[in-house]
Amino acid sequence: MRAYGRTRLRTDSAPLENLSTRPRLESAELNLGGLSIAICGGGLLISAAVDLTGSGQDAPALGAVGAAALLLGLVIRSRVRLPEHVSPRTSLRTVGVSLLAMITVSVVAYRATGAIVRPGEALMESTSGFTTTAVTVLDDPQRLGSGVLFWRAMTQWIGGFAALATVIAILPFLGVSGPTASKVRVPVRRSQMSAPRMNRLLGRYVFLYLFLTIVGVLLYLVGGMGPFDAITYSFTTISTGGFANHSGSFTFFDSPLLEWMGVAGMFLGGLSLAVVWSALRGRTRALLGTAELFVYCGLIVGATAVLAMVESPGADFASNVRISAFTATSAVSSTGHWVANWAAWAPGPQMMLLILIGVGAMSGSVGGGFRIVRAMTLFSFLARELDVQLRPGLVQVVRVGDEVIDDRLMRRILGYQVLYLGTAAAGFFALAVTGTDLLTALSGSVSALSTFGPALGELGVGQPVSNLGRGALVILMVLMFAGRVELYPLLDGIRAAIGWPMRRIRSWWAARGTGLRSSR
Amino acid sequence: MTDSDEAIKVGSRRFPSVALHMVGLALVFTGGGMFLSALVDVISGGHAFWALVGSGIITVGAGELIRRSTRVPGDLPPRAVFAAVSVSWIVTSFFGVLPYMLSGLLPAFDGALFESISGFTCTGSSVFSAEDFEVASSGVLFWRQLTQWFGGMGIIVLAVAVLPFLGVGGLELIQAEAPGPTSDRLAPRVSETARRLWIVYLGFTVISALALLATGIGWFDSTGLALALVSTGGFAPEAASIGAYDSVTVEVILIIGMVIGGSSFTLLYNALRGKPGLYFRNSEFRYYVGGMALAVTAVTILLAANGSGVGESLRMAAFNVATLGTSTGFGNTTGTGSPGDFTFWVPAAQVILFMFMWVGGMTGSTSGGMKVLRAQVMGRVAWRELRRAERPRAVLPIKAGREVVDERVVGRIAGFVLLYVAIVVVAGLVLTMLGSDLITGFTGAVSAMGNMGPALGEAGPASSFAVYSLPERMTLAALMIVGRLEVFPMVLTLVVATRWVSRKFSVARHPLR
Repeated sequence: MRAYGRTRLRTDSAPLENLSTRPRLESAELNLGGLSIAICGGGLLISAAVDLTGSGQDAPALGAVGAAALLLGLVIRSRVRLPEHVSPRTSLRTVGVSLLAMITVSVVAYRATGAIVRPGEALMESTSGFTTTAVTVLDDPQRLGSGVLFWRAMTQWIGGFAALATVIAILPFLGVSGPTASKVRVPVRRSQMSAPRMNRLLGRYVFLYLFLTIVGVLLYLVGGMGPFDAITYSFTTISTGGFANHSGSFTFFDSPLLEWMGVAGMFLGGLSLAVVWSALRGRTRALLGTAELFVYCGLIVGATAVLAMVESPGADFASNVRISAFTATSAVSSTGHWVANWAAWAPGPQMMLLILIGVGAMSGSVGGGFRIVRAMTLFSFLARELDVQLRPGLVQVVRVGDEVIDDRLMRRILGYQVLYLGTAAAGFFALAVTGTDLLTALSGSVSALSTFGPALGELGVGQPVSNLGRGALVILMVLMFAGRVELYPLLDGIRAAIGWPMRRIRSWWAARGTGLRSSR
Repeated sequence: MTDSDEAIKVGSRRFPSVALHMVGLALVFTGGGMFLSALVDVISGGHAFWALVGSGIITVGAGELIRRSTRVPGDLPPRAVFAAVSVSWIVTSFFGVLPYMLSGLLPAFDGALFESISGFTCTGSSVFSAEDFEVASSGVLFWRQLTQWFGGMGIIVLAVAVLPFLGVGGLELIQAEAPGPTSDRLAPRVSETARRLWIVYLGFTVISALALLATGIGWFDSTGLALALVSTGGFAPEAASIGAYDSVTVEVILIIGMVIGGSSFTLLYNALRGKPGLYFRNSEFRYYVGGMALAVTAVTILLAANGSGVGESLRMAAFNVATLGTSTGFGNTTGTGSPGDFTFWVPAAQVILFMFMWVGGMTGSTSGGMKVLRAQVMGRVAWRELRRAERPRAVLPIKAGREVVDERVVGRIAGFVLLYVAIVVVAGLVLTMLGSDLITGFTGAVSAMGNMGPALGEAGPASSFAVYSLPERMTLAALMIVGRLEVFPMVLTLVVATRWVSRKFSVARHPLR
């Protein structure tokens, strides 16, 4: 049955007569992977140009790697055609391959410039960058040249965009985490989206993302940053990345105004781009109908109030509110910029922040985490189940805002919830196996999976992550990767990797003693 | 009960309330337990006879009064069932403080209440200090063990077993009280099912007590341990819990007893009727035992790799995995930092134990936690979600073993798990806000909700729950009841109560409507 289905699919997608007329290889993974490499090459060339305005010492290395990557990417793209139909599994694999390709380019760049020499650390910094997590191996980023710093910020910016492309590419998988405004519009019954629609969405996303980045730059310029800092910080803020050019993150500037600008930037980063789109087009009604937006704002405001009252991190009322708002926004949008060491706070606020980090930002945004709309759906589902208990036989739909959630979609969200919790638990266990203490392991797993970054214990803010063992770093990288690609590509890869030998063993077991084995 | 006919007579002047009637019944039974404890006190030469008799008189008196002035109404809507179960458990726990307070052992109400709730819910977290065990009269200690025994199978199941007239709505009451999403009928009649369950339970207790007696730990300790063992409770009559005996034989007997106690009583019933093979034909049991075996192996390797001897590692791993995998909560520590104190183990081993604190034992057992079957079904739901990558349009049913689970049941299980996780997370937040550190607070919430007993951090098996402050302990006690009744009864009672209050409130606010 299984073998039959597979053969049929293969002949469908690549008929024999077409092979002679189209000589080029057909692969979505390679084509889009090549595109990712080319984009990175372009980014590196820009970084080289930026470096020339400064010391210029890293410009040759950056330029060489950039040119090579651009060339390689373009060559791959010219040799490999994008297939017309892409199976869900292939799109998952494409997402994974593209992210890995970008990380590889970045590792080469870090090593070529000599900014980060040890391969493990270069890999950590690159993974953290492209997954928009704020875990850094550099205890003092300022010693780097401006070109490398620019590239470092750019990895997060590209990573943020890659995350948006991911969301579109594997949209049918994500259930409600797709591009939503007030509506949870998801093609449940279709396994893929049409190419034109995908391109239109992608184009709109590029525009919105650029727009937000420019807004971020303006915010920071008004706040008093120099142009270089304003651009790089905007890159890492709008992408909800969290890398900073200074070891003290926002404490370096010591400017309340800039911190408020940071709050605004992170708030924008965690917003659904569909909401931004509605706002730009003046659709107030669509905005007001977005239940998720209210919850997003409510979480930030509520957490700020609780932190200001319970923890009181600042010296006076104004700084209390500011530091609380900054930390809360950073947590909810999964950014990772910081103005206070929350690892030194009381346990209650820490627990609250961990929960917020786990829930994460809005769906259809660059931020990470479980996503607010999914959490809302689960609560709505729970309310229905409670009602059914009280009145057996009750038929009632699950709603989020004004939108009815289809039962099939609901099941998928339930499945995703288990996968998410399971991944976090597995990360917790794996980190503990490498020898980190319980607090570090628990908070580190949640934080890395939400692509936030700093955590508690040994992973507290301002602690160089290289203090942890190599094993812990590998696990953190896997978690970040899993969180950034919405779990599926990684888990499906693992499933395929385990499934293939298992099937072989099973068929061998079934064929044993029947004489079929010798004939093969 | 000669007046059973009178109870359902039409036009009876008794107040129709199943909740109050259940409270009355539950109090009569628990009061009986107090008299039994008084008897034990006299036999073993304790000094709390009159305190126990007094508690018994108060409890039985109150129970009889309530029972005689109420009757079970003709129809039982779900909310009445949930309310009956919730209220009877809460009230019983309140009366359960009497022996502790009247005997002067725990003079403070809050401490006694915590101990009582921890006992009835089979949690096994204690606020007793080492001195308390020394000055405690044996009758009170026996009462402490007996609360677990009552709570294990459930007081309402007992009531249904003994009083056949409760046949109306009896099944609903049992289902609301018994752990697990399904409760199998052992007999066509509900009261017969309940009776058989209690007979199996009683028999299991006697056998365990005899096995423990053979190891030479004395009749009082072996009886007390057996009461806490079959109910997967976790209280022990000694201050150092099982560490006091420091005996491999005792531990092996307890491990076997705990594993049986944490598995389905339907299976045990069938095994006693000569069909033990059904154990391994049950997929939940295979996961339950397989999971524990895997965990014991992993923990043994982790402990042995960190410097303990292999034999000792195996002993510690097997005992502690069994005690948490069945939600019992015995400890085999011989002091803080001793090999059995798992808060000093390598973090990875602690995480394994922490996972077991979530899951607990099988459905239809006396254990707490989310139950293996639910974890199994949720795992399948996740697996189905992953398989969609390969077959986006396939309709994939969820299976437990060979049986297909109905989607509505899957939904109910998912709702349960969600509610469970949400309550634990919120409770963890409350506990940390009240001041316990993150690991102690969070694992304490998991442990209390799953009726385990010990937690990680500061609340390990070698320390008492006195490490938590008063408001924290009350939060934990509330969690224990919520967890013991499998979340829904308490939450739904709260929901109904809130709706009722808000309705009253809105009427008061808008008098013209």
